[in-house]
Amino acid sequence: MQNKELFNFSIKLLLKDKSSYVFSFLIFTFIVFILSSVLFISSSLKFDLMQAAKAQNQITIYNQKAGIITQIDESILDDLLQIAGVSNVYGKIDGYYKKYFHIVGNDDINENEMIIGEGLRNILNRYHYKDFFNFYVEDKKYKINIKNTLNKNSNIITSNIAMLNTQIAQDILGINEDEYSYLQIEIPNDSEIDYIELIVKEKYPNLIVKTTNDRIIEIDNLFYYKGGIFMIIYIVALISFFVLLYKQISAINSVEKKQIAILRSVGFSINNIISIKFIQNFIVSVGSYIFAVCLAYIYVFILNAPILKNIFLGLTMSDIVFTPIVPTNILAIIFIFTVLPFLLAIIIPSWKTATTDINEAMK
Amino acid sequence: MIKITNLNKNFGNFKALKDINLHIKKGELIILKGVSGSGKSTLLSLIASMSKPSSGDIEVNNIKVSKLPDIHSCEYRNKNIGFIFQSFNLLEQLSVSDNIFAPLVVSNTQNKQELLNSALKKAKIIHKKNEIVSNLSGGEKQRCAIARAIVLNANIIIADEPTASLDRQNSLDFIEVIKQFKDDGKTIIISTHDSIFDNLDYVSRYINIKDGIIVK
Repeated sequence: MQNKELFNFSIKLLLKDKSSYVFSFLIFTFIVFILSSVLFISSSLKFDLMQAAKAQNQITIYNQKAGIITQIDESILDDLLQIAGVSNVYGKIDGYYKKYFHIVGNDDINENEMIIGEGLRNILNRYHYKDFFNFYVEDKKYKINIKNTLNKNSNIITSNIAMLNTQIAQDILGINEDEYSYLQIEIPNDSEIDYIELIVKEKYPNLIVKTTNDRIIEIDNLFYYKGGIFMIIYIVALISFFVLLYKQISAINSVEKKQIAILRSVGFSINNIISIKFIQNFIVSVGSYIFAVCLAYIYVFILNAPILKNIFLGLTMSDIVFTPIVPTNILAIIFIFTVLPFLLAIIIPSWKTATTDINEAMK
Repeated sequence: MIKITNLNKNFGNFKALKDINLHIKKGELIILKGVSGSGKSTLLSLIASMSKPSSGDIEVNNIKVSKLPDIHSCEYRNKNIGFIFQSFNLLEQLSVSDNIFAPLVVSNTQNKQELLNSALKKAKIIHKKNEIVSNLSGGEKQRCAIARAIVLNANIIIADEPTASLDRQNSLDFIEVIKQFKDDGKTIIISTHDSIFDNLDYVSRYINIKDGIIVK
């Protein structure tokens, strides 16, 4: 009963004194909004890359010369097929034409046709290539009709893609007929992947051999440093520090000091005062946290993150639609790194004020 | 009822109260007189357990309130003391009702709504119960402060310069309220240097304080 009345009284004071909490609410919302937006974008991109990595066959083999990835000869294809446990080996054509076209070879597409991603479609539209595009390779011109555009919800993988007939793709990318960009090995039994990887590495020490797991680890590492927890913690620590500093300096102003002293004079204990401040600031911080996360969700997954998207992906991938992914574990980390310091920042000075002489605080 | 023994209060090197000894019986109306800075307010805040003495004891109903830890001194203030301040010390942004309800928030008593209404009626401020305090006149704020002081039926009423911010009519009204409290059997201690309290026949004692010492 008493707790309920204390809670109601805290809310009353909060509502009557809301102007002093507006600044905290706005700053808090801004911090959590920025962090959540960055988090949503990085999680969405990571999810798409992971899905793409998982969709590829279990082992991918690249050739390298002088540390640079280069074409791989098809002569080893038959050799790889001889390894026990390998059910199939595919040669893939994959590369870039100019900076906009991510060309991928596909045997099922006619020679004079291509299927393109939504991002590439928009770029071509800008240059009035609505039905076709001319690829120039040395003195040769390839006029390729646009057969289709991939789903509007193009992700980071497919946005700038141009799927062409394998032969044509090889010509445009300057890859010889007996060469591929990389090879993919299909292994039906997952438990044999590591063993086959070792055999390939032993047989071809100059090749780069990557399993699906290797790719997933690479993506994890990329986002761990670039868009992941570390980035969040650094930003939170930095901005929270300034908020804390501000709160420490200004939260308990003379009006609030007097308010605390008045409550103490009518019988409120130090614990009661701390409870009131805790309730008020918990409502402000949790309210703004939930508000900011919802706002970030709308900003990233409904409005498609204008401005932030360009910072993350550059202008060439401006047509990507983010896959809605809500990483609850990292949202919880943001909660811990924002709400808790915020509460501590107000509770400590409140406690200090509550323990000072009532008459002094009333002056 | 209130027994003060060898009470001293220092603020740094300044001795605000020096060796105060005082015995106040239940139902007495005490007027503390003295110039500003003589130590009247300090004595009142010590009796109300709002601050701790440097040395000496204050016993209220055989409980040494000067030695109580915070949690118990809050409970003591809440149950036993109704304090009326010179500048009223109300929560300006809240309504009259909310201000008067404040002591009830941390009290374990039942029928809180009845107590609130009773205090509003006794202090003749019920017609303004939903008004925000900052919109009230000085006299109305005084009545709100009185209602807050009596809402829990405190048996000790302490008033620190209660008429200093009031005009003559409101001061006379306050004196009437004090008489009522006296008739109700409450122990009342008022610090003032307002001559309006002089020669009141129902005052039990006038006590003069000068430079932190009780003078006859």
